[in-house]
Amino acid sequence: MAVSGMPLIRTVRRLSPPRCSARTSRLLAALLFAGLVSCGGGGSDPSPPPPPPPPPTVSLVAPDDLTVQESDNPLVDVTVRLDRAATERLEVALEYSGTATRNSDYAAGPAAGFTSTPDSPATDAAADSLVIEPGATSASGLIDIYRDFDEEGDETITVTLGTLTGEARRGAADAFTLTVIDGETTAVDRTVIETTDAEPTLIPLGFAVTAESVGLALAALNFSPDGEDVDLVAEWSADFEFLSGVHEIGRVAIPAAGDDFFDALIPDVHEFHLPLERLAPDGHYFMRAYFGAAPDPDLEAPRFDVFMEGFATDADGQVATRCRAPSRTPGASGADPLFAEQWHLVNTGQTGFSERGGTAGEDLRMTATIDAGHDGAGVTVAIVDSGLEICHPDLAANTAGGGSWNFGHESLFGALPEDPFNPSILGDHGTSVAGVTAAVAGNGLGGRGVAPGVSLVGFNFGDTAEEDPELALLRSLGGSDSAPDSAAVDVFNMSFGTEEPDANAPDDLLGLFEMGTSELRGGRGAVYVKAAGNEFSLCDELHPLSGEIGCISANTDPMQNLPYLIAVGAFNADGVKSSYSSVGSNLWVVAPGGEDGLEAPAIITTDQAGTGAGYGLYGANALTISHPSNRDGDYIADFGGTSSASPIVAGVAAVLLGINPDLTWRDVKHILAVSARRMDPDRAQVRAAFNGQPYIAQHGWLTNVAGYGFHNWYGFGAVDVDAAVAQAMSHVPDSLGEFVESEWYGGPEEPPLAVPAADGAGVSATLEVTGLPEGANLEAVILEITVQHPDALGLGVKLRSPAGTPSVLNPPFNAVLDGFPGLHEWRLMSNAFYGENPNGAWSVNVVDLAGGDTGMGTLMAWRLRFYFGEHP
Amino acid sequence: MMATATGDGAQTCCARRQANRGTHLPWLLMLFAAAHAQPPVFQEPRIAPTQGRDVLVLAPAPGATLVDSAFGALAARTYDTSSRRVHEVTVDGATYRASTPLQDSASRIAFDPSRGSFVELLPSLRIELGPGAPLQTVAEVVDAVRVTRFDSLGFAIVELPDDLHPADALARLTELPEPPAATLRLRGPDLEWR
Repeated sequence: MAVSGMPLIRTVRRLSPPRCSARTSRLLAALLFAGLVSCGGGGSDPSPPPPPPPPPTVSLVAPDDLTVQESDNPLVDVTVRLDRAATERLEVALEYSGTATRNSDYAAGPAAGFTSTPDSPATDAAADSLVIEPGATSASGLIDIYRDFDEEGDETITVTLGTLTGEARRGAADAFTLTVIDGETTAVDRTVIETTDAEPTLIPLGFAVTAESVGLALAALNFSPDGEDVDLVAEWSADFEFLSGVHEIGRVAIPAAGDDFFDALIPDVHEFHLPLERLAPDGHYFMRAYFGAAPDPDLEAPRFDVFMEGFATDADGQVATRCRAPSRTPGASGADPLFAEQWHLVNTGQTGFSERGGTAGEDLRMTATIDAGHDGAGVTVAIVDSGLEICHPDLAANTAGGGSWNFGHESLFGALPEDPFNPSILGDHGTSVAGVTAAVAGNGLGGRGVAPGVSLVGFNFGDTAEEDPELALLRSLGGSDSAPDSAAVDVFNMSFGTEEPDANAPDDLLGLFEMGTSELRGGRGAVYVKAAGNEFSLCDELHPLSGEIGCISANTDPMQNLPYLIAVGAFNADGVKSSYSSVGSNLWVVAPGGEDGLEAPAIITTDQAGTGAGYGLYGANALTISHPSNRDGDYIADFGGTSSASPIVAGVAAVLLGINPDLTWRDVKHILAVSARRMDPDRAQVRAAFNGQPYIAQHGWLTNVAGYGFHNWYGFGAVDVDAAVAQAMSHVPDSLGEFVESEWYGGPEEPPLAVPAADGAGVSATLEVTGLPEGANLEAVILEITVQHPDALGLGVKLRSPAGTPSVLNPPFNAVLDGFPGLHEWRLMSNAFYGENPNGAWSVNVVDLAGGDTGMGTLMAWRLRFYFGEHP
Repeated sequence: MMATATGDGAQTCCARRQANRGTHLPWLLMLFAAAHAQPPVFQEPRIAPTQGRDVLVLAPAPGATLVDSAFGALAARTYDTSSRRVHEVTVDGATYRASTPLQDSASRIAFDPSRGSFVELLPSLRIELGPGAPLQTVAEVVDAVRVTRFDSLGFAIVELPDDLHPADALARLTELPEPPAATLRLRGPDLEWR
């Protein structure tokens, strides 16, 4: 009020030469303006009627900061202001000039013109005028400055008052000039794939244990550009650091690569055997192989030409291939000594043995659940992974029921079928994953799992000498009812994955998940939980947008483009997406995964038991064997990745099923979605202009018409266990209607549509979907798309529902598509439309943002398949 | 060697694997399994079904041919260098190359025209449970090493002996009076812990 009042007072003083004292003029002026008093006459002298007031004066208010950064994608306020309220409608035209090009470098117009749908980039308004309504003193507009990647130098935008329509006068302040500092000028950076830095590389092929020896198998690739042969050396030692007692196993000469790079891709395969008679009982041994000179122990940078493996021997001097229960002395109180540092359970800002703490409250929100004793009892969780130390002191109580399976037992001497022991002592991924879900609570050892009461089984499909992991996977995920009996499992955790350009899930796997969700658990369906991936930063920023939308999309893993899974991303102790966590429209929720455990907290969990084994050998952070809570070396505090987030959600699912065993797999997904909390709520959309056309490469949080919030970074949000538990207690099982998979809608584009190169508008096509039930609530949508293009890197694919909800299914610059020839019937999934009805007009938008010499694209075909709950 | 299917997910057999214990690393069975194998039956590339799509199975012996397919004419050539067997496929003007160890006379390589890439065939077949020859017969015809039956999924995986190329095994089955629905299996992408 004070600001707007001052010009009015000054105006009145100019209109009426004062006869009142200066001391009272301000008050009187206000009263005069209000019509309550007059000044200057007095007595009974009649005064001539005052002349009509002159029209108000219009001025242009310059923004506080006249210099803006293009890379900030700024919205600049433009305000026109009257010196007093308008008595009639006033239209103020604005003129834009300067070196920047309107509608290419920026858009401008009334503020109202920028607020249509959430997906609409700011586009230029049809009218250049701002309208001041009667009684108002101002009107606002915006200048939306596009972020782009063109090298154009700093530019200016000059805004000037134009024609005034209505009663008003032009004020002195009638123009301002913005300076726009040019932003990034990067084109797609492909330097990362140049081969000039190529070095000799080792690819591990096998680790085999026989009655006579332990062996390493390696494929050696020699990319050395200097054309010299190089020795491949294999050694063993009882010293993890190879500082003493180093013995050579063998040495072979690897020929240099020829001129043909293709030949360099041909590996030389070698194996090295360490006879068992050279080993002592109850020892720990390490084998390594490297090219040329021995690794420098003081050199921190990783060498790609070094490979290492380790193993233990048992009391007979045989390589340990079975779990041997160690002796441990629990704390007298029975409390879990590491619980206080498990931020993912209760985040108090503790450091979790890293250098700093996070933000209190950014955790699973499960204090009430823990206090109530909801621990997943009665539920069987399978860790489908590299192995499981079933005799680990903090896991053994939960694995006592058996049911685990060792797929490598036939080829590992001494191994047992029902003991998925991992003979490598350099860390067992599955054992650490298992502790996140199901480390025993209240046993005076270590920390606790999310669901410490579950029955735990492990299937080591992925770390064996089996040549057909796909077959082992089918047997691990519910396809087998004996040897192993995976069909008896309630919740499967899958902390693994792959990134494949343009690949779909194999039909066998698709059939497996269909069967598992419809037939297992007495028809209520098993719950499949999967790690979304750690590829957000895995491209050295191929493009500036990569740092904001990620390097490789979570949708690039064909196994998790299916509605039967819960794809889980990771967040850190600060309550923001973990730096590595892959993002995409196929995410369901996020859960704690932390960061590296050094600078910021990671996840505390079980490690291979003993001081001589496990990830703890690398001594990453403060939870070493010197710490009183880890004298036996059974735990680590730097486990992370979505490998951690996934078993957390698997544990949460088990807690929910423990509370309400009649919940179906869809009920569990639904409860997780509706109870999730919106994390990082102000995360801005990512938008940039290409060819003057703004494109949203990643939306901010959107709420669809069914009321579900979704963000490609977080899915439906962070898991809130207490809220989910409350939901599970009141949720009526199987109340989501019949689960329906629709036919495909859509097909070839006739004629095919050209995708303009380096253009943010791209090309769009629409598909009318009719005939699906009015009571259908979408649970997932799969888009199958074919785009011809010599290099798919720049292709962005977006889908918009009939309700107007947009979803980026494939972000541009998805690094896994770099150089890949187009998209061929590629299936991409989005969960963003959850709860919406599928009927109506769907549209797909394809952009090609790479441009340059990557060629032209053509949208050949697209079709949609809907998964929904049908209510009667 | 023949295995008997005994139940959902049950395993049989493995005399071969047990015999190999202590002599070779298991992975070597995969890479060099056919080093001493009998010559394969087929000598020319052929289109064969996998799940959901057809692939061009490349001949494990030198030669050149043109193959008509739904993708158009595919020019396939296999030749040897001093150490490698090189496979070339040309389609739509683009030439793709892959190679296998020269001594691996039964290299199991196929070309996926829809994706323009080479794929490795697994040493097994996928057999639909249902009409067609009984699984027992299938196992006998291809000298199966092991059969894993997935009743709940409606198919079985029949693992083949090292010296039988999957394309040849497929050909054997087509000669049965009631051939089963059988497809080749492709090695999937490597899975990584996350």
